[in-house]
Amino acid sequence: MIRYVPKAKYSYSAGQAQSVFLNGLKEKKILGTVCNKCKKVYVPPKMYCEECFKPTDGWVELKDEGIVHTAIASFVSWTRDRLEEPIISGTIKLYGSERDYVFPGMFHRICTTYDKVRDMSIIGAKVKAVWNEKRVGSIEDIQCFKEV
Amino acid sequence: MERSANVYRYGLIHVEVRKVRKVAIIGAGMTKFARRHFKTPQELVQEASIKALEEAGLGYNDIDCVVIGSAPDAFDGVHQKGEYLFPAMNKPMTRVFIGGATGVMVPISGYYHVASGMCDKVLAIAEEKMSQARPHPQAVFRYIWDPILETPIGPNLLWIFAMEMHRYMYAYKVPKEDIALVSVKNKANAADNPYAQLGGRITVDDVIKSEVLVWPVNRLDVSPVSDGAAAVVMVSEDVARRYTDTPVWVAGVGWTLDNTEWTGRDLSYNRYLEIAGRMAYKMAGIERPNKEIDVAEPYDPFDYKELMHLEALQLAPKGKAAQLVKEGVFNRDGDLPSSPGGGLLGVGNPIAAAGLMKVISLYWQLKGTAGKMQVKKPVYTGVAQAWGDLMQASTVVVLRR
Amino acid sequence: MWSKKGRIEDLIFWKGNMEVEAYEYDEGNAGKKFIEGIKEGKFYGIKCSSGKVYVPPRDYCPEDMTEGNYVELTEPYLDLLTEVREDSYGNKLEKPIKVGIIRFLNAKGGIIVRVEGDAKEGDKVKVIKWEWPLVVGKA
Repeated sequence: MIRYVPKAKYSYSAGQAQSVFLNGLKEKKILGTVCNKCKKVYVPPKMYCEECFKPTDGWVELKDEGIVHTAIASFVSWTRDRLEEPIISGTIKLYGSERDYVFPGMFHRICTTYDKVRDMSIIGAKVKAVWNEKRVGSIEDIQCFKEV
Repeated sequence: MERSANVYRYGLIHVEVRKVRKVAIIGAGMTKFARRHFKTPQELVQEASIKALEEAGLGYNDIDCVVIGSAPDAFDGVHQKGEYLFPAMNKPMTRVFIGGATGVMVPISGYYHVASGMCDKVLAIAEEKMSQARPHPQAVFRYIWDPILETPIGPNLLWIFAMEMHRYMYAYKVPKEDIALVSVKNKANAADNPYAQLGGRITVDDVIKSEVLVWPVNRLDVSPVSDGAAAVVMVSEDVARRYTDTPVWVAGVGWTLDNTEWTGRDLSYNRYLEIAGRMAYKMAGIERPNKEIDVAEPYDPFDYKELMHLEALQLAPKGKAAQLVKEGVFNRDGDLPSSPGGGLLGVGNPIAAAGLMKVISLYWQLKGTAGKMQVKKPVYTGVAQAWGDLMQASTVVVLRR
Repeated sequence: MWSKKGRIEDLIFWKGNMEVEAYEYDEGNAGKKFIEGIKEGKFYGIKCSSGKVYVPPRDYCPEDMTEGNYVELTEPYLDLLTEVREDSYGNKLEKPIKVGIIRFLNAKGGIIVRVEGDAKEGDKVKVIKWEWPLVVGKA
């Protein structure tokens, strides 16, 4: 058996749309792009509309509130080590109706208890972003989404 | 060019199925799936290929073209997959890759190699060695997430499944106990599969009481990590008639990629699979899948996934698959056997090879060589499927004898 | 409206490190035979039914996927030679190192080695250190 330790380092470009989005987070704003043809709002934003295959038509600011689409509690880390306290995360639907198949949504941590995840009472609950004091233009500028 | 009325439309999708050559599978082979194989990927591929070629009655030099498939290079830590995977030389070779759906994309690619008239005899191979990454393949799975918006939250691959499973449970009021029945069924089916890594008799209680990894996913809800390889020989109609009395025909193929943002999509239903499935059904002339499909091999890396896939393949009403599992519809002696060979939950999950294993299991069923795994009812048409990327891609193959 | 800014100073770049503790690669059957051979001071290749010999050996013939026989190879010669002045990260090495590929008459394939002394391309070489990586010098 031959053992090799890789050293792979990258610099990922956030691109046009995501850079604006990340800089918006610094100012406690959740920004999305909108397509005037199909009225779709994109969060995370995109420079083009996936449905109409044309450039999006501008920026909209969304409320930092939404409803929990799904939630989980993780007892394993990314290296598959056991965690004592679960990390709770999920996706948050920011805007639109419950029946939409596609919607502006964010993946983030949710500040709640394991019990509420287990009995599913957190799914469908209204949540609001908890912003960090120090913001640098990263997804981590939001600490988590917390039930209101 | 001659055109048939066989047009499939769905949203932006517009596929015209032109009159092309018929394609048959005449040989299949695979290695045993195991937590760790000490062979090199080439040696695994060779083992599977030789079995497939032997069944087909062909030698390596009879093959015109080769298709290979394997998951992201970071899983086994090697980039040069052509040289690394494929044990022989001097054939036109294509590598296909669409995440976890690669395993079924390999025979789809093999299909159009032959159907187009480019090649008569194709060797289609899938291989995966998940055991090479340390400390655990989980660590490498981290890099399927968006590096800027998602990785900083610290996710692992199980999260995505847990999120989907929980939404499914919430949307259709499906209890965990009912979902666990799939794991019980598939592991029991795998006990009769000589290639299986994790066959056995377990109970719903065992699943529910196993370690909670990411709620609502317990350890026994998940397929094991495996090494393995699989191969099929796909040929044109005249070659098939010459070499075998029991060819299994590729009746339809379909594949789709949904929109690129999983965070903004309803996770309780797999739209992309419905689109891919309908494309394959259209091609196969199937109008009522739940009546016309005799046996199904839905992709089951997790137990709830088999249920979602059965629903999206139109083999069960939305949210009702668990109820049908309970009634025994999907058992080996049921009306519509599902994963009679044990699926990924029982046989193992070497990503790309697992997808091709699904197609091979179906091939055995249609050919009647599944042995103890053979389903009770007579089978004429079956469907196999895989799924990949961040809940986006699906590949479907309909086989008919 | 194309609301693109297009100025690089408005864009964000995200540094990422692909962390994996390590990869563990298996040598396989033929790889083991080859490495054991090196430890004993021998080179093994594989002879196919066509008569051609391949080195390093494999578990099967690359020509037709049939089984072959292991054969011992002798008298390596230096076929290719190059000098390395920087490491993989672009740092200048204190002393350049020579690497090359050795081959055998009547065999296909070759082995990457470190080269010491003033061996030139085409010269017969002998192994100075039977360890991985192999070190060879002029015979």
